[in-house]
Amino acid sequence: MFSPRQIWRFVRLDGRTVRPYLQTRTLLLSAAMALGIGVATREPVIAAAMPLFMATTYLGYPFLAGERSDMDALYVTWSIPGRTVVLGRYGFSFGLNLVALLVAAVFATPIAWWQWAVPAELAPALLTLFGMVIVVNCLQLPVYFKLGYTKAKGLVYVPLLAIMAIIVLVVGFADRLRWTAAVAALGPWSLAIIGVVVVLAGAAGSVMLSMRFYRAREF
Amino acid sequence: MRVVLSNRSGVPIYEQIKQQVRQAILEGELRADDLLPSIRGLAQDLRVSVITTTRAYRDLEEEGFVVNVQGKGCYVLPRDEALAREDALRKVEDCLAEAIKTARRCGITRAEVAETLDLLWSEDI
Amino acid sequence: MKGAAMTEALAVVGLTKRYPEFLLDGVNITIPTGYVMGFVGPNGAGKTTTLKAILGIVKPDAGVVRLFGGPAGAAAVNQRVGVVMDNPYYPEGWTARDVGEMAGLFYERWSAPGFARQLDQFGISATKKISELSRGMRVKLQLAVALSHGADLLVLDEPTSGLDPVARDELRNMLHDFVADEAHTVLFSTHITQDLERTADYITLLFDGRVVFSGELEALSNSYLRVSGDVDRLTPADRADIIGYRARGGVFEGMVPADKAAALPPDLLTEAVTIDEIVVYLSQAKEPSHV
Repeated sequence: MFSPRQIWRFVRLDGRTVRPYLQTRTLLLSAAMALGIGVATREPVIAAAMPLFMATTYLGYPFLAGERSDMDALYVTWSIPGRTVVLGRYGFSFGLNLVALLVAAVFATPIAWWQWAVPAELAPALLTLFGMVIVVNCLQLPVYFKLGYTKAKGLVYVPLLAIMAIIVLVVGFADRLRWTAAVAALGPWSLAIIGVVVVLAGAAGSVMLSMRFYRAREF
Repeated sequence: MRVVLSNRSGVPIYEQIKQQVRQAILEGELRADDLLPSIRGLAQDLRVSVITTTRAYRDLEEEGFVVNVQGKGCYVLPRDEALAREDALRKVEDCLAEAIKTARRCGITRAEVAETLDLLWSEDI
Repeated sequence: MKGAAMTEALAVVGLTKRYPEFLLDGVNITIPTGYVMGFVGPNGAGKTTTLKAILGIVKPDAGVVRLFGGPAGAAAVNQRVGVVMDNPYYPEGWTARDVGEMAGLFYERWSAPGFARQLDQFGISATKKISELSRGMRVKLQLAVALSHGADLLVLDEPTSGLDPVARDELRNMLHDFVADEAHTVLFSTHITQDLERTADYITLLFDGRVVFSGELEALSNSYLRVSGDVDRLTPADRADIIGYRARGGVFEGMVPADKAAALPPDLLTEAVTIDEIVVYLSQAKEPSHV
């Protein structure tokens, strides 16, 4: 039904499509900014969050480039079926997030050493952030697939901002909300399992939705 | 043999091809059992459409100059000697008629024309 | 129908596509394998839409499109189709090398050395960005790709528009070279009909979403005659037969179907008509104009 090799090839294609847009200059600037903010606030989690959330903004690039050059038509002429396009795009976004996770770890660890001296606490925080950006992407990708880049680009910030707002609220009012105590009581492993299940379910649903949207589109 | 096409003569291209192949056969440049260039090869060389050369060859086959052997190509049929002679005779007639017309127009006499004919015939043209 | 598949590179039957302001209505096109078909019509007639349906990019509302006997857009089918579009579908930031490397991932019969050779032959630098290439070079780049993956059918959309006469001649030569192999077929749309005259075996005329003629080029040229003369020599019945009638200063010109020519008054000038003129007269038939 679908071929992992084809999907990997499509991820490479996306990478090559996006490459002209990734200028070393901008990347270094973003990196410097992230590091700077992390150092300034002395919060390793914030230093980690920045690369990860930036990755979600890069998510739109394949769609942007694709729309500019009518690459959806190219995919057809290159015999790439729609489901490979969708799965490949998700693969690309996952890859982006992995890279961002690595960068986040690289930035956050020194700051954690400096601040906490127990960087082991960083891991769950990083993984939670990782899970969150995956969820954000899973909310954004169907929007891109349905509307195309131009119409989607305003809308896709909504999930991102919503999640960021939720984080701020939860972190800020954690001690005031009753159910946070109950949630915390579950223990880290239960929380982790619940988190993974939620993310996987969300991703699956998102993929199916994206496939339906993409199939319905005309180029 | 070489086919040379004119863009501006007003004669359709397939007709030009036919004429030139026919001439080559009648004048003996193409002999019996010679293989004509393939339909596609000729089309490519002359930069014309395949249908054009196809039509020319088909007409030539109908007129009895060539035969198309499936899978091999078009072969020249042995030429009809009488036909060739007739064609040559017609050409001589046309040229002589042209010469006579010109002569009459400019007041050159029959005797002068005959003299010129004898002179040219003995020369190595 | 296996038999048909062997002899027909392309079969379009009843292709219909509805857009809010445009209708592609029951288009029928057939190209036997090994031949060149020109696809002609004024801008906006629906040529590009038809080509996109043939490539599987646009899905018809009705009708069937089959290439080599298989459905348009099928993976196996598109592997055998070479595509040269008005604007290449490649990102502007790519270089020819990028195109080659990416195309190689998805074309099963890709030949990297073949592609390099083509680039060399066309004089395209492997490291120049597409945005820096001229229009002619972009066409050649797409052609280089098409010739490097074992395509049996070449589909071109307006390949010669915007090209200088030298480039147009080069393109025509390449098409001739391509069909020297009798398994190869070409479909190219153009509104420069001179490019068709010696190269095309077949022609399809598309006007306002409808096929006005589809058949041998020769047959089209012979179907019409150009006629002109004194306006007063025409009866209203004659006038009705004339397509694309145009009159100025007491002199008219237009086109008649060849079989109607005999019925016209004898002292009019009748002569052969070029494909270009046929297209113009047919266009004008929609919007008659006289001074």
